[in-house]
Amino acid sequence: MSAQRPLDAGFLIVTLVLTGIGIVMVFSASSAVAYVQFHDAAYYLKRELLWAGVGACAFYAGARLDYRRLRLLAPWIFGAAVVLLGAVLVSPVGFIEGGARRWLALGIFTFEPSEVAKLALVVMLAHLFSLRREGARSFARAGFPALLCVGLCFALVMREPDLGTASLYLVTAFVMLFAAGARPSHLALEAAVAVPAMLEFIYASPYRRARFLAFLDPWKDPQGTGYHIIQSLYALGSGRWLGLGLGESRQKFGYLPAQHTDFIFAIIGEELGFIGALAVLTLFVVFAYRGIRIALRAEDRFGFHLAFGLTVGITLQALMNVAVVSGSWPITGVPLPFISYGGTSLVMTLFSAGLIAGVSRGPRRPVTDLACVPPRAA
Amino acid sequence: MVVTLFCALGARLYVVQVRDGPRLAAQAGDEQAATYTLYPTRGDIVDRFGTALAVTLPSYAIGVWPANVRDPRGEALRVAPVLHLSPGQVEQVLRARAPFAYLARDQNGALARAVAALHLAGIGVTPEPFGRRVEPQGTSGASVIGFTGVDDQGLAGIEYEYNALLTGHPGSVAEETDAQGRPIPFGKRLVHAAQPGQTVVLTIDRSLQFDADQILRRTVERFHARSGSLIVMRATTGEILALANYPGFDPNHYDAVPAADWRDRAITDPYEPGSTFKLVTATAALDSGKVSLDDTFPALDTLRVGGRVIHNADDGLMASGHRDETLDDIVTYSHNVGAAEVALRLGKETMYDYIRRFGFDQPTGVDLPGESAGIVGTPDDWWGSRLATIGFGQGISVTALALTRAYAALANGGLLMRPLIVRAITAPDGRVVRVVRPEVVRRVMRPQTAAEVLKILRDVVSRGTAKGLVLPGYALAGKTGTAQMVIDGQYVPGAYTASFVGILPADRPQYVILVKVDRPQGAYYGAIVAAPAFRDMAAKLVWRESLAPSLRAGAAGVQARRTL
Repeated sequence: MSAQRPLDAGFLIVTLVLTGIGIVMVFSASSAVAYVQFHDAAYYLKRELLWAGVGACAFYAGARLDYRRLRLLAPWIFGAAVVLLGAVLVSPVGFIEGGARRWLALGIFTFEPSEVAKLALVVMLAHLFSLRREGARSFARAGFPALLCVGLCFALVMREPDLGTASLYLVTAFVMLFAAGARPSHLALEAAVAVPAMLEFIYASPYRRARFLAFLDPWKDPQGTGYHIIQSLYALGSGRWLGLGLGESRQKFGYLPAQHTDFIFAIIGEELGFIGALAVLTLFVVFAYRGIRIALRAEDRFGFHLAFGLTVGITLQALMNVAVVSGSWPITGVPLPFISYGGTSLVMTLFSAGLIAGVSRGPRRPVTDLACVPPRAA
Repeated sequence: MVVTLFCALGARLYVVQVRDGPRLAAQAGDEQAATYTLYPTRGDIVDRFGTALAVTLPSYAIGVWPANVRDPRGEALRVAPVLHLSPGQVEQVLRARAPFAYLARDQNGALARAVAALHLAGIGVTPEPFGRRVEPQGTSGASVIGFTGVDDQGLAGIEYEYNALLTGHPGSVAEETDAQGRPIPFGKRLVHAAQPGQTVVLTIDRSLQFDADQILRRTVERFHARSGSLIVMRATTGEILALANYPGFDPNHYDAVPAADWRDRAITDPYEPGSTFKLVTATAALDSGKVSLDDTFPALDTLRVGGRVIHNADDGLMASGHRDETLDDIVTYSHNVGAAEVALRLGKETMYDYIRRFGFDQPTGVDLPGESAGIVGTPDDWWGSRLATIGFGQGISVTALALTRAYAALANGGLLMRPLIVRAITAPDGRVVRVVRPEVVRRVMRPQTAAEVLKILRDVVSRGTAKGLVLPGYALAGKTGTAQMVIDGQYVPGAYTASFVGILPADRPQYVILVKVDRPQGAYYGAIVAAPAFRDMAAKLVWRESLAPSLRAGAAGVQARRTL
């Protein structure tokens, strides 16, 4: 125990600040809609606080956990996640909202397995890449199994359909493969399979295609496919340099859809201006920097791949979200990590952050590289 | 690489938020703002003392938001009796598949409060933009007041003539709203208040108007006549104190009667006045100097002019026993032959000149819509016997209001006034915006002539066709009229206009009262049909106006003096 290093303070602070901003902004962005829907302006705030509490426990648990134990569990975790993803699609508790089956209705709350799968996938890949010294250089030993895992998750999530999350899996895996030393040919193969699959999916229906390409010229159909992006741009543009002030958003009054979930960044831009939006963006840069630094300082390869994969996953998701909100990327429906309203997302993101923080502390016992190889794989 | 991507996004944010910010913010502002109109309250129409003739009361719509209705059947059972609707009907509306539906519109405040007191979440009370126009006097004075249509615009009478003033100016509200158009808390709100309409104060005296309506109605019904008009005018100013038409309408339910009864017959329908027009003949004769009071005319029973034989009326007041008659005799006994002789002696130009001086060729210029000029023609059209018949008021048409004004000119010493129906305009806060002052159009005759003709009209009452018309204590003057009616260009046998125009009191004239009854059945002489109505109206006028009795009013006057 005494051998463990202290937790990376910068990483903890940036995580706390982002979560805090999330709580404040969820309240600001959701109050109007919450009042209309439930006659309680704090309806979403209360739930966000509850989930933040659960998330804090998850963070603590993640940080306290000896991350190496995850290696032993990695195939099981991954298997469970795949089962859950399958359950969304076929079981009667699969919950349809907005035309997509993404949630499992579990009694009083709903649960989004794709968020769990995101973590499970990173753990699984980290496990695969740390089996051998050469990482993912061997296609048969690491590259191919990794592609199988990603492909499985990708295929299942695409069936929901959730293009954003699915593509996030792909890109995260791509970056992890790259960091694990995969050969360029393997990477090219992955891209060659995935990109046509996504394009085929998008172009299969004219509606999806129009919606997908709407960000290029939202004003072509301002009441239809362009509506969401235009409203998001209105929000950002209204903010100017310093914003309308906290709580002063106009777009949150029913104009901007998903204003407290996927598009909360637009409300941040409207209320806190370019300066506030840039500050949030900078916090994610700091998060990425601290996360990668932790990965690079990890004492074993699993720790490196785990911290790196999780950091990349969260950071890429933030990038993609901001790109969507600012009209630079097709609408893909991924939440802004730490900030968007959403129980599963917040808890899983905080748990992931906890795991990264755990890596910063190092393993419980001083170990040799060999010791972290599970007996069976050895 | 991550840093590069973040920098790209930062630049993108700069473009959207700072460079394009003003444009996007303006577009967003347009979308977030809602503007709606505030409708002004329509101004009142009041009588000369401020009594309400037409006012706008708040009115309410009972609306339903079916999504908020929790128990359609139960709530329907509670609301239905308040609205006097059947629970089934109400329940159907409460179950409507619409975001909003009306249960009832244009309801009064008491009912709206009763609905609000039920405290039902899905049923609400909203004010109607225009309120409800109410005419508390009912049919009385309706043809002057007029009425308003569904959008609160004036369609007849003063409501129409003064529509712009009564309407006021709409205001507007611009406010920030949510996507459903509801104002957002602490949002900007720019209000331009509506300017309520102004109040039109009429010259009408509500009490006299009521009397006039009653007396006219009684008269028309007693003689089973088609219709009638009654006007009371203040001679010195031209103010119309009462103007009644029968049959009329109730402005609160104006569509319950045929549209023909909406019109103000006294100003829209010219008619052949008959003997009451001898005022013009006598005035022209004396004022032009072509006839003096001492001049005599042969007293004939018939006269052949332009291939037509003119008779005197068969009213038992023939000039038998006389060889000659004066102008006074002709008017007093209403001899058509004599009047024709006078007209022929004056000539076309002189008669036409005085017809025009009395303003019969033009509308009077009263502030009421649809006024008609008289049908006078020009001397060039006056071929055959027309000059002679105009002398006794046939072959010429005038409106009741124009004739009333002509008598007022005589009564006030010779000045033709513009008839006034509006006395003042006041602002909603009571400030007087405009006072309408009496307006002299022209002098019609010399004061000397006026006095002479007035004397003749007093003789009509004391010994002529209206002998027996007595109002104890008050000297009266006036002229009867019994005219054949022209219907579609033909004189119709048995169709007469019976009329009387009188001046009260005759010794210091102040009021002119005209009574006109169309197609009375049975009796048809003006003296029998219209003169009693004049007397009844004069009696009301004396009482309402506390008119001092005349000093020399014949036998009745003596009696009155004794009681003083």
